[in-house]
Amino acid sequence: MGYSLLDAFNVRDVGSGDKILVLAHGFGTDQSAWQRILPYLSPHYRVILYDLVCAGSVNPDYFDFSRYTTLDAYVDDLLYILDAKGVDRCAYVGHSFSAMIGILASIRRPELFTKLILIGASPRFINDRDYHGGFEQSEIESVFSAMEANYEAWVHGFAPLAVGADVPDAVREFSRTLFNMRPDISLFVSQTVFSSDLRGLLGLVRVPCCIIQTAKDVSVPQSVARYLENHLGGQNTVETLNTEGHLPHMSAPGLLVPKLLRALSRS
Amino acid sequence: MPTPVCTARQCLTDEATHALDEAVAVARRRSHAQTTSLHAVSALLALPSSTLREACTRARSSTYPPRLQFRALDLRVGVSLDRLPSSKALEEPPVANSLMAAIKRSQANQRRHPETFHLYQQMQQHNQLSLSCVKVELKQFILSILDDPIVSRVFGEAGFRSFDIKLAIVQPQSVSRFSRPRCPPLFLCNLTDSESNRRSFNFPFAGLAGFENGDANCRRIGEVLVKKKGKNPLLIGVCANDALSSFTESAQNGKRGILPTEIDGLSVICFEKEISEFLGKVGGEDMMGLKFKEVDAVSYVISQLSCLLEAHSGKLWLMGAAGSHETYVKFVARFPSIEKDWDLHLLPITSSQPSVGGLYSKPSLMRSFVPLGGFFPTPSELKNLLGSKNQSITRCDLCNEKYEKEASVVLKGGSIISVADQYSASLSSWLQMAEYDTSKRLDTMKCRPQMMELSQVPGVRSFPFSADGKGSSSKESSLDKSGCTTPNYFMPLNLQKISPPEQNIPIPMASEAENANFQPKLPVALKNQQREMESPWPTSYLMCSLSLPPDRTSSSSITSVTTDLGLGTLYASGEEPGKKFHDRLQHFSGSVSADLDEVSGNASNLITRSSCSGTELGGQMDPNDFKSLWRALAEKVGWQDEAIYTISQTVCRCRTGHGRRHGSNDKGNIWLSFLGPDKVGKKKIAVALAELIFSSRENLVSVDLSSEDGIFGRQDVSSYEVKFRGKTVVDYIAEELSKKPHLVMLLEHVDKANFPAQNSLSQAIRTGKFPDSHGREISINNTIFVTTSRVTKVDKNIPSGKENITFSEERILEAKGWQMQILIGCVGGNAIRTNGTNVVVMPMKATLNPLSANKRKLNNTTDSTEQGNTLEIPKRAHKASKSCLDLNLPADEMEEKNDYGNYDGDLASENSEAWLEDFFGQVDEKVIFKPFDFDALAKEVLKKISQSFQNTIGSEALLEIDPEVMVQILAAAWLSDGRRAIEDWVDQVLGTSFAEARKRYCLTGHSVVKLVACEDHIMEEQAPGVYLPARIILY
Repeated sequence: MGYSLLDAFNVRDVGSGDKILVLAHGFGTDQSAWQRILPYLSPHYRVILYDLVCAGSVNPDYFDFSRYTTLDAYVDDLLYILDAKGVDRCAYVGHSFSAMIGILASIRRPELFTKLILIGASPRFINDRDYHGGFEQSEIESVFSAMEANYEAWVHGFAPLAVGADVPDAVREFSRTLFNMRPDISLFVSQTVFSSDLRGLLGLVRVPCCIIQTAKDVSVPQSVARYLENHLGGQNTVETLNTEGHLPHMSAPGLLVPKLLRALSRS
Repeated sequence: MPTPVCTARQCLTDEATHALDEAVAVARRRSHAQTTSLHAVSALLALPSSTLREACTRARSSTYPPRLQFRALDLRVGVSLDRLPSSKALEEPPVANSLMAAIKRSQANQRRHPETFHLYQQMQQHNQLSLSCVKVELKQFILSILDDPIVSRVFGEAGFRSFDIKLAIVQPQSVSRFSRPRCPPLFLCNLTDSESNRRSFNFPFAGLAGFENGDANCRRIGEVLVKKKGKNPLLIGVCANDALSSFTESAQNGKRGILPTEIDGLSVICFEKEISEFLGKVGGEDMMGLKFKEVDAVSYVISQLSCLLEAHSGKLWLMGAAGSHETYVKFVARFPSIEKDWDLHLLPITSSQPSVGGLYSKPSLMRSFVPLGGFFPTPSELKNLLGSKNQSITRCDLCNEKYEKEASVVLKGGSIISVADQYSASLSSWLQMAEYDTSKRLDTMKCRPQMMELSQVPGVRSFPFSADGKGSSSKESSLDKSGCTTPNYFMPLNLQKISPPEQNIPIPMASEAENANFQPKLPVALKNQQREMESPWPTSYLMCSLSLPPDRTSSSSITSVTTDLGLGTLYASGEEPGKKFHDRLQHFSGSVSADLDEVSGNASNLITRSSCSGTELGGQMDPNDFKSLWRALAEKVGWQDEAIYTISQTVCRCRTGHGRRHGSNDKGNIWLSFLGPDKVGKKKIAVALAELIFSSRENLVSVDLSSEDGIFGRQDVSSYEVKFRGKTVVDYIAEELSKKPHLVMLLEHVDKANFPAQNSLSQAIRTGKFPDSHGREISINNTIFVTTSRVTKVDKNIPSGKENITFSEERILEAKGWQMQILIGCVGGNAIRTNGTNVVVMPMKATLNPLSANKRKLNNTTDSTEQGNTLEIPKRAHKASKSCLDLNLPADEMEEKNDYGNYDGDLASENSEAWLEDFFGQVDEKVIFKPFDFDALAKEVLKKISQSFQNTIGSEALLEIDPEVMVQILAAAWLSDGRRAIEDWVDQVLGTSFAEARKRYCLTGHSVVKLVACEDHIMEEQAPGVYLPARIILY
């Protein structure tokens, strides 16, 4: 009884199965992003869903601006949840932002994860000398100022871009969850994301990873998937989805599910 | 050691003393040996007009009724007290350390409280006022007690959060966090309002340096530093160097907040420069370049550092940074034992700075979300104010020392050495050291870890005023304070980590407030790991292994009696009905394949479906309808005679109103399932059905439930992609069904159907309505559902009967649409033999002789160098045919893979299997397909090609066909409508190319013409009517 962090993060246990699967949503969504995927997974797995602290569905008061300055705090949250749930082995599906969190969590607690499935993952979004992350620093800054100036307008511009494919449902859904985030939190988190750089750490990952990447993603160029494959320390595979957009689990669940199941069954 | 009550009383105001007395009374009543914080809480709650209870009322969660929650709280407190061991009753149970510590904390708080701060400060400076003179007010007393983890756990279990209560105590008028309405999305303005009020209270001091810039990284570094093992952090990450330097910088500048209290006040020595100079001298080269070359110099440094660390373990920390994991790996490869010697802890660093955008003023604005983050002035603040001056002097001196000399400095104690090294790797490290001083205050602090003590010495040194006793005791309490503010700072997390009663926290410790507070997450994590070790996890793999063997018996054991019938038909081998029909069909078609006599003959004693339906048909069928359908289908797919026969029968039977045997409500929908191999054949039949019954092939909707890549790669997938955008399979099917009721719905690989699809299909076949994922139902009258499945169990028997299939269906399915090219070689040279292992050789004569050099299992005796037509033809036992086609077995025979491949990917296949049996038990008809005889087709095609080759080039030269090309041609033939197409292609495309080759090169009898596939080169142009290149490249 009583208050707990599990309530705060809306941690849910769905489905039956011996194996545990954690679904972690990315920036601008919440766990509802997985609803199209979930029915396919719940018969086979015990699926654990939770909301990131930055999600719109979490009480914004929990977002501690002095704590969530780096990804590590989110990793703490994840590991806390897994511990509290008594999870000792699990497969982890992380989208975008959560893919980064998953990478870090698996470095810290490799024994906890059987497999990481990274959807639309990137170790660093900003271009560097010999690294193409997809964004220039200046672009990012203009994005930030756009977010600050008029969040709603930014959401309505960004959502279709991120979803990529022409799937009005997904765009609507993503806009909703994105807009649900409090603007200051949203901005703060995106600053965290864009200032993160995991490139040097990828080699520390020992857990096998499956990188799922769509053919065209505004946030993550194709080269990033290859970069991840080459630099992550475990056994890695790249699956390319023949669709567009950063949110294949919303826009193309039909394509994603078989790849997901295949990747999971290999673990 | 407990403190006598009277001593404690001296520290308290009257009001607080009264509360303490009550607590002592509670302890006495319960015959407890000591008065703890819990007793105090119990007493405080019981007091008339209790501040605590009143605060709880305001802080309570609105989700529970207040009465209930208070009852829960009282119960919780009672239970916790009951758990304490009782002893002989004392008149005045002395005050436990935890409670005493709380009192001391509140003294310190009060002293630094904004309202009274200046007062106390002045008193201190002028009157040397001892801390013990500060009388604690009740409010402060309560606040400190709430910091006690045991207390906050008790509150937490009753649904209160102790920081909410604290807030309520501090701000009697403020609204509780919980009752504050959810914030509207755009509300920055109202945020600032509430902010400014609170800020004035929360942040009496100007900047909160400790919270900014690299704070999170520094905090993590600090966490590593206080660990028992692996306490020397090695930062890894692109930003590691930045993080390191920001940490050193703030440590040097005395931003105390960044170091954990246990090791607060450590000094830093950075010898990055010295090392690079040292190495530079040796190498005489740019330091970045040499790195591992100066073996001696580097190992000298390393070994010296190791010695240093060993000599001063516990007092010396080493830090370093590496830009990337690769660098570190190189370093470790160079010095394999370094990780152990240096007790390193790899610390991933993700970003150099917390995201403080220039354009955004986050930190000050947002503080309110950490109600207590700045609630108590942090100790770092105070120290900054007071002690920043004289620190820099000593540090600078130290920093300027040479590395070698620093060792001696370290020996003297009280300093840190730090080596930092660049991105370029090698040794970058940092030594930290603090002297251990036992002389002071062991009495109250002895339960603390050693670290705690360590930190005090440098602290003392850096405070001018703290040299005297009072100063140092204030120092102590400020440490206490920071001890409690640290967990506040992580707020919910840490409290939660500590509070769950799940044996994570050793119980004896829990009785000590500080201890629990000062144990960082470490013990918890360790415990967890231990637990993980203990619990055997292989269980998670059990399922996998269970599902593996597609064994008949195992599956039947799962099924129930009712499904037995289905099982029989489902798993009865494909040959069974074939055998029965064999005679009957002989006169229908001459093309019955010879394969039938190879039937493995594993007789299943269940009644086969074919005979059933055969008898059933008798009176019910419209013979004309049946015949026309049968003929039309046979025309399309000539090779599946039995299957077509059954299909025609079933369709006719159903359409004349004699549908499903079991179906109570026959709605005109027909369910067929096509089992076994021959994917293309099934599809063709489905297309033909759509054409014949619904008069257009537009009325076929085909959905591959497994979404495997189809033959010739993408072709299927791309359409799939467009169709499925943003939809689930179920919804797609539902949508198509609602568009057109008259339709053949081809569902391929129904055995791979996912769970929702399974549900929908089951419901549809039972009720005649197909539900989509939202539960809407679509009527499926007049729809023909064709479900296909390879059903691995049937497959298994087929290869066993025909072990030597050259071209298996799987192999053909993997065909790619490569471009083809013709190469000219010379016979006799090694060229032929080295041409790879899979060579198909066409001799000049009409009989095909094996000439190939690759002798695998069978061709050992063949003398491959001898050219000509007299070679002995190795006979395959199973081949009745005399025209000895010897297509060597492909190198990677895939039998195994074929059998199990489908299974590997299956999750929870028992479930799917059971469902599948159930589903197949309900369909109108299960039609078993037999494998397509690719070898026979190959023979035919080769004959044709050889004809064409002889016509154009003549019988002298030799043609070798790449098996890849052969597969491609066979696949194309399989897909194409009728044999004609492939013959045309051979005549036109291949023939033309041969002619051209002949024109271009002088082909002699010794020439070898090779037809090979250009791998990775997708054909540019497709020949009409067949999926083969329209042009063949000549070289």
